[in-house]
Amino acid sequence: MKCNKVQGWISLEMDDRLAPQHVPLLQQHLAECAACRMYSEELRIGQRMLHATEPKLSANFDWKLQLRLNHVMREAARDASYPWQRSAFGWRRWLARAGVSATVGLTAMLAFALLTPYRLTPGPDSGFQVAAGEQSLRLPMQTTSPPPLYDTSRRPLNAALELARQPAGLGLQRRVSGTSGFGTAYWSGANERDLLRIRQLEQDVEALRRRLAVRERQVRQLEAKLDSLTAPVVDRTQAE
Amino acid sequence: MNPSPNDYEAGQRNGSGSLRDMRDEDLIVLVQRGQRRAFDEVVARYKGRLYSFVLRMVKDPSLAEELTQETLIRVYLHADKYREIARFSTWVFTIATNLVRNRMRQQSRMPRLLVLNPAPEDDEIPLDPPDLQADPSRDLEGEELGRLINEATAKIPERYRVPFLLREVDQLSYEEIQQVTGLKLGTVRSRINRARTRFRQNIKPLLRNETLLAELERIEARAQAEED
Repeated sequence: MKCNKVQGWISLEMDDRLAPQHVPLLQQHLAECAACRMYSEELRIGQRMLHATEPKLSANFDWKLQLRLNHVMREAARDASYPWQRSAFGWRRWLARAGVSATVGLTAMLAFALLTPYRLTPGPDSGFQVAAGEQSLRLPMQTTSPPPLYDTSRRPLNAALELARQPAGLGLQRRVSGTSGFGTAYWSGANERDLLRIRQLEQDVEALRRRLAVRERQVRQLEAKLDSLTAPVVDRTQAE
Repeated sequence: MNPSPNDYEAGQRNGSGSLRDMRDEDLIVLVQRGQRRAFDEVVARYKGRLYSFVLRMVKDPSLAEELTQETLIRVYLHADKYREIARFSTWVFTIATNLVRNRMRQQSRMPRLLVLNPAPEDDEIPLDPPDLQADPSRDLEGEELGRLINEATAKIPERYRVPFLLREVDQLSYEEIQQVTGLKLGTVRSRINRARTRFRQNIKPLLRNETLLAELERIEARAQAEED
């Protein structure tokens, strides 16, 4: 007989669940097998240890149970006295929690919209136009301070509201001008191409800004040079 | 035998002697009728067994005490739901097992937080009164062995530990364990066997420790003397 099977029988025998016909077989095996005898002995010592070390409750357990029970009974009596409070409690609490959650969420969104710096993108009325797919530019020639290239007066929230008011399917230029601090998460473009186009346009705008700054510096240098000249300027066209 | 309506009054007159002689199933009928003294007898019968089971499941004495109280409170509040289709002990340990499992599940989901200044849950409940009956020297005697046994028990996987403790600590029969856990009878049998094997492996180092074995003998002798 295999020891594995006998060890299962030992466990059953400890609980008086071993079939009567197996009892003599078990005893015979235990008489012959020292390993199974030790196994049985160790299981029984383990059982004795478990029983000997049963944890003791604290002496004030009954007192604490009494207090808790009184408390629970008082609550139950109150619920029975004012059943409408109990029935209203569930949905009122739910409503209060939903209200708090909604308020916190809205506040967070507003704070995000107001505090996030407005992402500057060219608008249709910003003084110059960027034709999609074209590199040619038509810039206003001014020697004084240039007109604001970007509309910094508009806040993201206004822009977002304006964007929300627009019907779906407007052109790319309009959408670009409406992009706000909400970033691409607010973008309702139907596909990724629009976003890529916007990023391309933003890079173009940045390049144009740099070129414009260089030109303005050159113009200022030329004006300064012109003012420093003492000789009268000859108008060649008139002289000819 | 169902208790007569006057059993409670009879119990009061006779110093609750009749309550002590009643079966659990009859006691709970009295509890269903609102007899608080019958519930006290239920508490006296089950608190130690419940605490022993719960402590070896959750390992934390204060949590074990809380869950034991919670079990007994639920027994009182939902006594009217008990039907004598199963033994009362099965019903009580089903409640305790469910509570322990829920708590262990909650603890496994919750991140471990360090509470620096925990607020009292209910300011109506005063602080624990000092435990005047506690005997520190007596606690120390079996403390080391108890700690080692608890550690060895805790190492048994939970699915084996529940039927094992219900059998070894609470002396429930295989059929009762089957009802409490919802397992098949064969599964109960095999899980108890596996748990015993694991427990034996875990206590193997203790079995070679002569001091601990001598301590075991002392504890058993003292328990026997107390019974006599």
